[in-house]
Amino acid sequence: MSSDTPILSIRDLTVDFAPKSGRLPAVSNVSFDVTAGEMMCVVGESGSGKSVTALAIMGLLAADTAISGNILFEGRDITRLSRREWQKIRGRQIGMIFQEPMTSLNPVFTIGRQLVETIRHHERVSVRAARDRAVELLDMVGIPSPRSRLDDYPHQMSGGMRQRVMIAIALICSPRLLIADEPTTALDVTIQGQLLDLLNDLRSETGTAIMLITHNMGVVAEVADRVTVMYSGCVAEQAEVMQIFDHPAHPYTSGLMNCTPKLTVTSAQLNTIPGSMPNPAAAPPGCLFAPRCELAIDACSEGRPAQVNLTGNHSSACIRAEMLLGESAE
Amino acid sequence: MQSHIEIDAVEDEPTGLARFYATARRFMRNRSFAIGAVLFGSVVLVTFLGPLLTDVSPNALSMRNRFQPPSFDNLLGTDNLGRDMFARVIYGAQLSLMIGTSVVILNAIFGVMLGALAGFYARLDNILMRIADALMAFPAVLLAIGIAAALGPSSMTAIIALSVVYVPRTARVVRSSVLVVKELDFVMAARASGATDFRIIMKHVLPNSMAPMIVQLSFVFAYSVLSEAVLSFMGLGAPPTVPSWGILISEGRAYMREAAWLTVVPGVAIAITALGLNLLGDGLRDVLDPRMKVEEG
Repeated sequence: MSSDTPILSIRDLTVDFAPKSGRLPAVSNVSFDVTAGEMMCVVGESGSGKSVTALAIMGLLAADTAISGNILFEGRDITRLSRREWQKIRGRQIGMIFQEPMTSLNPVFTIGRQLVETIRHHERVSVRAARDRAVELLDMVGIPSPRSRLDDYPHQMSGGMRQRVMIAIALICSPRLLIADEPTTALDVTIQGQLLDLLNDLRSETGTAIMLITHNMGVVAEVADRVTVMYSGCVAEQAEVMQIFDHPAHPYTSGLMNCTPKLTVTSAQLNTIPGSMPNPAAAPPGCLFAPRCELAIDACSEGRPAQVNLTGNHSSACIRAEMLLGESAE
Repeated sequence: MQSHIEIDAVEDEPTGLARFYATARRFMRNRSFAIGAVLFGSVVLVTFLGPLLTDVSPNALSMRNRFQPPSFDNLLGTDNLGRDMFARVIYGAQLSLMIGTSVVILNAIFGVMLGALAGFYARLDNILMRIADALMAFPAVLLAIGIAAALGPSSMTAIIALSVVYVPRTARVVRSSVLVVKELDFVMAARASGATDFRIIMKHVLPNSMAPMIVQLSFVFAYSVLSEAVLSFMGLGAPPTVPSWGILISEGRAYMREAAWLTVVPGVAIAITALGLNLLGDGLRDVLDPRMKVEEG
């Protein structure tokens, strides 16, 4: 959308698990940008490295991981920050919401107390002022009669409500970037739609850029400005949302889109992409998707394909990308 | 829609007193908690009301009334110097409860702190737990006797010795629940919202590890009452002028055949206290188990 300088810029990010005892690459050479105020969706099936990338941005990876490459947040490399510097960024500049709203709130305190304490942790305000701010935040995320809900415990709320509270907590400091790691996966479809609308509204109201991680192409179609498709720890394709749906330039992207059930077609079986992701400890030498790809040719198993720049912001890591584009243009 | 939610909220949220009664009812439905609470509650009651129940000093000698069996004048009989056993046992209870409480407080401070650190920081874990292993390799009472003997007999000694013995055990229990809680989603969420380690430990990890902590501390109380009696029986606890339960048994031992009540009475007092606390702990373990709570699901 906006071609401003990106607020988050990831360059050649590689994350290895257990670097001491035989390295397991979870993410390799991932590069992408998030520009201010946009909704960037990261799509891919389980294990494609979406969440690991998010945790790397937040500096929340386990100790037994090695990161290389750069994560530039507002032009500053945050991969080598000290603990203290991280704590200043988390919550203040980058907020994050998680997949499991049912367990992401502390069960022993009321949500009001959790909000008030987080507010007071970040800003020097009185309890009364923090409570007012909490009510404001709950109202903003669409919780009805917010003042009376402040004294509720998390178990008194539904999953959708709790996720709204999580969003409220993430918004306390109006972060520049909000990372939402599959925020709607654990919720039912109607609530899913409401929350996505909420995220979209908040984005246009506050100008917060959102990096939305999902495995659901339907979600992508609904809210994304730009899309990054990840497969097995690598970026498969990047493009603006219209481009990717109209002219997918990577067979994995088209595969994902075919997996979305369609109302117009009645079939007994859902479409799938046959096979499964390669074991990161024993990855094939060529294109990681080649073993599952219908369009694979011999050249696909010779060396990793590089990102090919197609039109504008569109790039794909498929050696047959131009051919695919040509096909869909016809 | 809005009014609906408010009505629900009111129904879900009983007032303070009603909630207290509901919780009390849930606790008392557990049989071992109920029996334990009654036993330990009566010990505490007698201890504090003791001076009102008897106007006899525990150290008042009465040479004419030596070795009197229990009667209306002396409810629990008299000892070899004619001192009233009822008064002595009640004053002994004060000492036992004082020592038990002190040990529990020290455990709550140091055991919880060390356990939290060990559970939270993998690097500290190894060091702290190896020290704990070393201390726990000794039988509890033997270690307490050793420490008490080294420091010289006094009530303070007994408190220190028993704390050294039980703090590693408490730390172990706390550590294991911290290990579980720190992996839960809300801890990660708290970290993502910028919380420091200290905040996470104090606000998220420890409050959610409360149940096993309370249970462990109630057992520590029971064991310290028991071990204090052992220490003072061996002359390593309170000085002989204080009517500690262990000292009462130790003094009565010589007259076991002629005046059995001299050993039976303090023995029963120890047994009731320890049994009460153990049942209380067992009951708490069941009641505080989150899986038992129906309303949380």
